[in-house]
Amino acid sequence: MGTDRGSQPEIPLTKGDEPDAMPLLRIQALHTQFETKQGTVRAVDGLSLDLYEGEVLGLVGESGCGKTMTALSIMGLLPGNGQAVAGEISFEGKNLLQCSSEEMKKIRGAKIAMVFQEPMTALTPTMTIGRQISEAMEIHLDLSREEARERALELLEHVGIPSPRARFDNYIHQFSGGMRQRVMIAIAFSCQPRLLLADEPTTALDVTVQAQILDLIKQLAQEAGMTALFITHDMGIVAGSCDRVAVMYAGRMVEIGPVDDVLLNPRHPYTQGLLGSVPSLDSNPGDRLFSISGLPPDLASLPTGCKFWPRCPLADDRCREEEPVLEQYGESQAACWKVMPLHTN
Amino acid sequence: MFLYTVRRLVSLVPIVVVVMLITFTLGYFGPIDPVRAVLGEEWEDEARYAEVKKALGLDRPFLIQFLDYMGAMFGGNWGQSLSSFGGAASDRAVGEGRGAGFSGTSTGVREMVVGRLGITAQLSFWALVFLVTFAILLGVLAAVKQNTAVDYTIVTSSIIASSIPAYVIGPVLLIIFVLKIPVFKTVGGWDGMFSRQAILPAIVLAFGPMLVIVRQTRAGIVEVLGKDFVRTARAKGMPERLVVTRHMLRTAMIPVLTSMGLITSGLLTGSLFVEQIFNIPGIGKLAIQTLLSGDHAVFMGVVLFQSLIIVTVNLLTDLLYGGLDPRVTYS
Repeated sequence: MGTDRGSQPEIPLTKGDEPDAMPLLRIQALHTQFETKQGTVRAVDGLSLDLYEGEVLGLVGESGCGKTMTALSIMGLLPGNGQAVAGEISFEGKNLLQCSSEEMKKIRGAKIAMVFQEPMTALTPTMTIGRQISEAMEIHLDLSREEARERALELLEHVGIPSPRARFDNYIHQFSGGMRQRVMIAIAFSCQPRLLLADEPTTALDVTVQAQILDLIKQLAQEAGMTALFITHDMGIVAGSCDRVAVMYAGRMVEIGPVDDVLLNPRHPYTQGLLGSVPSLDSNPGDRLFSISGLPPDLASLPTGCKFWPRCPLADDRCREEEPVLEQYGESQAACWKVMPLHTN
Repeated sequence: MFLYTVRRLVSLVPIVVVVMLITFTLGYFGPIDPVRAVLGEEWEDEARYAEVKKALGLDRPFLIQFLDYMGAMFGGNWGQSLSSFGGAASDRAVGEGRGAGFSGTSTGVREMVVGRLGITAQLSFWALVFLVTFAILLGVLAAVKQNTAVDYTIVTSSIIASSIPAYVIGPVLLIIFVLKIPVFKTVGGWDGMFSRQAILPAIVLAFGPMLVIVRQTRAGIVEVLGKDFVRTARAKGMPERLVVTRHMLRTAMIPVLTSMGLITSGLLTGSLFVEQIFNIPGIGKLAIQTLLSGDHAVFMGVVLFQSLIIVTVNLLTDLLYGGLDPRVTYS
C-alpha cells in the first residue's frame, strides 16, 4: 500500500451502506497537467474517486486545488494546453480519456452535464436564452425545432422563470444573475443527463439567491434521480446538500467520507482548518476567525512528502519526507501520518 | 429605432451642405477654367469668352453662385454637364459611357452620375460578395487552426494579396487571363453585372481590403475562443461547426462590421485605378474626368453622391450593429 511515487493507491472508495455497488463514475489515478514556462503544473495529481448512482458528492478545497480541473477533465474540456496525461475516468464502461471527440460530443450535455460558476459570462450574449436551451435537445434528443422549443418552455417554467413564453426570446443581458443561473440549470437538465457536475453554481450569486438556486438543483436532481458532483468551498453547502464529501489539497485527495462523519470528526489537519475557518454563531464577537496559515503550494514545484506540511501545525520529519496515503478511519478515509487516535473509533 | 433613423437622416443635411461648400469653393478658386474648357481654341476671343461666362452664370459673385446651386440642388435640378454647351469637354465627359445601365447621350448631371454609380455599385456588390465569402471564411479557418501551418498560410497570403497595388495586380491578371489564356475578353465598357467581364475587376477590388477582414475575423474568433460561453456551448455537446456559427461568429463580427462599412463606402465611391485599368465607366472614372476637364457641375454631383453614400453607409452600419449585438439599443 505504501508508496513513495507521490501518487495515491488505487483502492476503491466504497460508499458505506452499499459496498458492492458499481460506481457510475470511477476516476483512477488521474493526473492532469499544464505545461507552462515555469514548468509542469500538476493541477490534478493522482486523484482517485468513485461516484455512485444517485449520490451527491461534495468536492471541497481552496481555489486552485484542482476541483474545477477534475470536472473539466471528466468533460474533456480542459483549457489551453491542459491535458489529462495519466489515469482513467470510467463512465458507463468507457474510459472517457480515450474517447474520440465525436464520442465525447455524444456524452457531453446528454449523459454528463455541467453547471458553471459564472452565470454572467457562461451564456452566449448574442443568442436568445430559449435557443440556448433548445439547441442541445435538437442534437441529443433528436427533437424538431418546434418540439425542442416546447420542451424548453416547460424547462423554463420548471426552473422558475416567470412567463417563459415572453422570456424565451430574451437575451441574457435582460436577466439577473440568479435568473441566468436558472437558465444555466435548465440547459444542464434539458437532456436528462445521468451525472451533473456543478462547479460552484452559487458562488457568484447574492446570498439570498444562493439558497434558492441550491434548493432548485437539489429538487431537480432528486426528481431525476441524478448523480451529482458538487464543487464548492462552502462547508455550509456540503452540510446541507451532500451525501459524501471529498477534500482536495494540491491536486490530490486528503480526506473523503460521509458528510456527517467528516464534518463532525475531521481527521486531516487541512479539513480541520477548513472547518475551523467557518464563522459560527457560537463564537464571541471580536474573536479572530481562524485561518490556515500560509498559501497553497506552487503546483509547478510541490514540496516533498505530505503536500500540506509547510502549513501544518503538526508536521514532523516523516511528513516532510514521506507522502501519506489514504487510510480507512471508521467510515472515512484520510491521508495523514498524524491522524488523531481519538478520532479513529 | 424609427425615430433614431429619422433623426440620423435629418442630421445628414448639414454634413452634406458643408461638403458641398468645400467642394464648390475648391472648384471656384481652382486652376481649371470651365469657360476655357468649353471654348477650347476660341478662348482668346474676349467677346466670346464673356458671352459663355455669362451663359454659364459664372460672372456672378461666389456666394450667389453657391446659393443658387444649392437651391437648385435641393429642388432636384443638379445642373447640366459642360458638354451640353458643346466644345472640348463634351467628348471626354460623355464619350466614355457605353453599354447597359448608362445613357451616353444624357448631359443632365443627375442622369450621368446615377448611371455611372449603378455600374460602380454592381462592381462593388461582387467585390463585397468575394470579401464576405472568402475573407470571413479564411479568417474563421485561421482562428480555429490558430498557430498552425494553415493559419500562417492564410495570414501570409492575405498580406501578399493586400500588399500588391491594384495597378500591378490588375494588369498582371489582364495579361494572364485575357492575353495568355483567353478566359475573359475585356474590351472596356460595361455589359451588366452578370457578364463574365465583371469577375476580374471585382476580384482586384476585393484583394485590397482582404487582409483587414481576414485579420479582424481571425482576431474576433480568437478572442471569443476562450470565453466561458464557448465552453458552455461545448459542454452541451454542440458540434464544433455550430459552436462557431451560432455562439462565436456574431460576437466576432462586430469589429468586422465597422471595417465592412468603411470598405463599402470606399467601393461605392469608386475606384480610380480599377475603373481606369479595366476601362469601366464607373463613378470613379467620371470623377477624375470631370475634375480634369473643369466640368464642375458634374464633379459637384459626383461629390454630392459620394458624400451621401458615405453617410448612408455609416447609418446602415450603425443600424446593423443592433442586428449583431442584442445589447445595442437605439434612442
